[in-house]
Amino acid sequence: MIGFLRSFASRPSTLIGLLVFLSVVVIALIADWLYPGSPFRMVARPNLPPLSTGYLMGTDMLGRDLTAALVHGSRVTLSIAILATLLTVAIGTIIGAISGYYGAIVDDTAMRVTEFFQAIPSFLFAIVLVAVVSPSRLSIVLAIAIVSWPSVARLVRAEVLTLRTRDFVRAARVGGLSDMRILFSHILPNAMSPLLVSASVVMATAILIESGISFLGLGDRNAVSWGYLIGTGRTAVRINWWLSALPGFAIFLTVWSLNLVGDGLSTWLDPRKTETGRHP
Amino acid sequence: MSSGRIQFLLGRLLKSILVLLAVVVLNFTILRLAPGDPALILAGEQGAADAAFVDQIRKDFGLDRSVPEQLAVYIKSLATFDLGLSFRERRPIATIIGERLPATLILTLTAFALSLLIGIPLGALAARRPHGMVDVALTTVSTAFFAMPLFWTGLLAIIFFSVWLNWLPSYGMMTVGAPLSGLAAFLDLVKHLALPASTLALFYISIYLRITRAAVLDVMGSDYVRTARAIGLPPTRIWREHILRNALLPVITFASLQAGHLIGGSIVIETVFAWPGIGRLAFDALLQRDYNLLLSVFFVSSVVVMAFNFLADALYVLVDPRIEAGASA
Amino acid sequence: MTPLLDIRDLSVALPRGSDRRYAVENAVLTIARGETVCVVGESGSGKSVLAQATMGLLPETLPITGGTITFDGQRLSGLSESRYRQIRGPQIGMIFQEPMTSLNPVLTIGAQIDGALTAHGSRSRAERGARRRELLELMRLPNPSQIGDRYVHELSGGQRQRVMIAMALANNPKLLIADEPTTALDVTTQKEILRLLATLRKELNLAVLFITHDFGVVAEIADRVVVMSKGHVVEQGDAGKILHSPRDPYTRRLIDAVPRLAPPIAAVRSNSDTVLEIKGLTKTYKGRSSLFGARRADVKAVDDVELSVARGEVVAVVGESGSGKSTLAQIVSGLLKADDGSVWLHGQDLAQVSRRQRRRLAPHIQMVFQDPFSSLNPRHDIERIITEAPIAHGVSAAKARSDMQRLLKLVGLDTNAAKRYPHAFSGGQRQRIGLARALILKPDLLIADEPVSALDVSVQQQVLELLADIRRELGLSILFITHDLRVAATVADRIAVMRQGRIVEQGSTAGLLRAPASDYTKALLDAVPGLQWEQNRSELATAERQPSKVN
Repeated sequence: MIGFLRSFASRPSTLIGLLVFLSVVVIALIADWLYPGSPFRMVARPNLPPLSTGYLMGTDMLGRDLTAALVHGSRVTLSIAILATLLTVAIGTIIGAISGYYGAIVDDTAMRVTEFFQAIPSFLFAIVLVAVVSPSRLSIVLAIAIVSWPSVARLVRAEVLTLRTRDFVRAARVGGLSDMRILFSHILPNAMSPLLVSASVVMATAILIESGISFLGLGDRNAVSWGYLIGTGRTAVRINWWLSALPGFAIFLTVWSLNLVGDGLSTWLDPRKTETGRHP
Repeated sequence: MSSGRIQFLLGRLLKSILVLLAVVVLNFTILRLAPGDPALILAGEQGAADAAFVDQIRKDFGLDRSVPEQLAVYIKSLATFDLGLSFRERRPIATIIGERLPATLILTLTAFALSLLIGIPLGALAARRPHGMVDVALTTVSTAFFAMPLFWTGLLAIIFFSVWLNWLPSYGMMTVGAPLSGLAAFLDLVKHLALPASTLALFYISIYLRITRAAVLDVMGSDYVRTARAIGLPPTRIWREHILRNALLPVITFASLQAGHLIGGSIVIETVFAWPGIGRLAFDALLQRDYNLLLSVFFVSSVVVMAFNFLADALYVLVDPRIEAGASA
Repeated sequence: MTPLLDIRDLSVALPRGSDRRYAVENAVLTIARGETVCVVGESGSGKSVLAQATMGLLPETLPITGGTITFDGQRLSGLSESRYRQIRGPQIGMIFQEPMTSLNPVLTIGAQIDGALTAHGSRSRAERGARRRELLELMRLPNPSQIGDRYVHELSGGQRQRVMIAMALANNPKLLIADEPTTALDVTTQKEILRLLATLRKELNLAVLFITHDFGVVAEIADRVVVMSKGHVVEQGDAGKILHSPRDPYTRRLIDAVPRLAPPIAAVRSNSDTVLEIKGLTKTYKGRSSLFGARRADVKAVDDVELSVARGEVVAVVGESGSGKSTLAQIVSGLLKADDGSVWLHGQDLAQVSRRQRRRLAPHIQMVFQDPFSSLNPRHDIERIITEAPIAHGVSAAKARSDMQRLLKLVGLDTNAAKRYPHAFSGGQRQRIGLARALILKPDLLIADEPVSALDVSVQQQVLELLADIRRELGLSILFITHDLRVAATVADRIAVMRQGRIVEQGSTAGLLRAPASDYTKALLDAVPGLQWEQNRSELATAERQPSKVN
């Protein structure tokens, strides 16, 4: 494990990414201890600029502490992103694995559906889903997973397709092992590395989608995320710029650190291949 | 063009139409899945619409009939771009979207062109010397832009260029109340376009930079580039004839896939910059719970994306001789 | 007379952390005008690095650290890139192993040859057109006036390599460097390309630096031979001398390891009962058709095949790429389903049983695979790799483990291999592990699908000998799939020759080699490189020592 960390984090950018992301996670975990109580209490004079004594990032027009809101917001943002990532990876892996392993009609059908979900404007679709089904944390998680799974499914399918023709998998089939055993003990473990890289990308994307949805005012009002803070702060951007600039910086930092970790992961796993892209 | 390629394109066209049909079914399903009376959902916020209007909708969309019949009616009306009425504006939705669509096209196409024109050359430049100074600088900066939420970049741009420096307008598509024409009107549009288009482009520049860089590096290691060196071709020609031409193929595929996301990005950008396109329309529809309008924007966006994908396919067929019917790009 | 190419004490460094310091160390090599010199060696010998160094195409990670390369009086080592460009094409041309990937997929053949012409000197459009046609004719390509409009994917493997040669020779170089140019081709195509090269060198007074691992090919074309091992030139000299009486022990070992096209004298001809009987087996790959797509033609991969294997017998199925031999192996092993026909084993038609039943019958037929680097799961240790299947079929873990230890010994591996992972083993060792994995299930039939074609010739010999030993010890029946008649001749009691899905001929190895009945078998035999050398060798061998034996 130590050896793994040392070789994995040997690139400075990966190390920075790892440290930043872990800090965000730690802050989210100890939010209640850092800022006990509701972050929506009015605690000071309104519109205090950043670096005011006691209020590192200033206050909003109602005198609420922006630092407290950000710290608590990290919880909302991260929990949604993590849940959405898990769901996305689960759906994508199941569909991709079945599609790649069984081929033929199963594969054709699954790929048509995947292509469809990739072709439609995904962010707009996520908004439509959340709006019509009713905005809540659950619906946001579902919407993110529904628009994100295709990329994972395609990746897993491609991996399974290659691994399926590898001789060790054929040997397992010739040896008479069951399909499930072959899939779970021979194929999927060997697809783990690219899946891990993809998960980091999915999570970064999930944060961006969630913040976009919340920014448009569709978020859960009982659980204020970073995107929501920007959405409410932007109306006053001419007076207190920090209300939208600082939460945005938090999003940026988290997504950026995830991307660095993902890049580091993929270079570490396969030094020849490098990064691919994705969307807002 | 060979018949195989024409068949390929026809196949792609058919596929796009099927996708659109599926979007319609999806819209319909969402409406049916949503809690409550679909007529009320279509009409807008519960209770706000008067009974007569709800009845009108019920009749327009055949909601008084069986589910399969409803679907048939729904498909038929969307196929003829009869998108129904907007409750808030009391006007046909097709008209409203028709008015707004050009603004979105101007914004997204400008951003798209900017991101390709800047992103691809920068990506190729970065790949020339992998892990050299230029590459490290470009990839570092692009990784950063890649992680910025669009609306945040937009707000920062407004804070800097409009609020602090007061260089550029921060909202709208043209100066209100200034009766401009000709070149002056065009320059006014460019000034208003500058911030939203570059914000949208910035994100996609970094994407195209990364894609192009990866594609160029991939091609640079290929056997045929080695062959080109072995016949003594000068570097400039190796780049032009072998590397760039082949590296552009995955970039085209990717650009086509990104079309949908560009539209998604424009919702956020149009909201931030009060740009009067369909993205902003979607936001307004969202605020007013005008779900029929929202679903219609989704449908029209899908049409735009499909058209765009089809153009990309046509381009692909022109550059890649390997495409034949039955092959998948 | 001064040599055309003169390489002196050339050293090329390997990156830090490699298993040795130099890719090539103090190599000396000369080529006279019009001479063909073969550089022979196993993988990792540094032979390709030598070729790339001469062409100035070494990657930055492999710098030249000593010695000189002089071509036609001009010193090449240390030349600037722009000066070197003047050498590549007009002075030295080069062709590579994979003609498919060595040509640009999106440009026509004509445009690429044109590129070679315009890279040096300014000829008019008409002149270039004429020269292009001339080159295509020189390469004996069909329709030289039209083939220029085609793309790479529309040509066959042999045609692609001819186009590569045309490009390399477009500017009349004095030297052609050929880096394993026929390794990726079928034997019959290889023969055509070798013949073409022989004609061209005479017509154009061309010197050729030919890199290969195949002594048969060397015997066909070489004037002189350079043998390399681990970066060193171990021996060089006249082709006849080296091929027939090598002085260096390494060279001798290498040449001895080349399988002979003569059947082993003590062939086991068993008359016992039949283990496997294939009847009317047919498999068609359907051409995909989309709604608007032009339907692609169906391919009959296996077409009405009849074949049987007796107990204790080794039957080799020989064929070129696309002959259907691999499809046949996959159907018999249960990896693919046949469209029609039957596969009888122990009075049971495997083609008819359910998936579940087939899985239960799996141990009866086992398989050894081609690629040693993909045939073992990199995440499992050797014990798990070998014992997984028997345990899944109900053998107790303790019994499986003791079986494994016995088998590891049998295949010549230490029993402490069990706790290690595949990456710790060499290609040959991995094939042994794969063999143990197959044998632990006590199969009635072993399918060996090109089990030695990815191995260097010396390792190949060891694995073949091991197979022969085990077969004798266990009385194993083997269906041996190979593209290489030499290998088939050394292992098989009977040979079946496949082409385009059909078995064109089958018979006892000795009979088939001595008196082939079909034209195709004759052509295949005729295409085996180094036949003349082979004959001399056999005569020498019979004269000098005991008939070849497997120890």
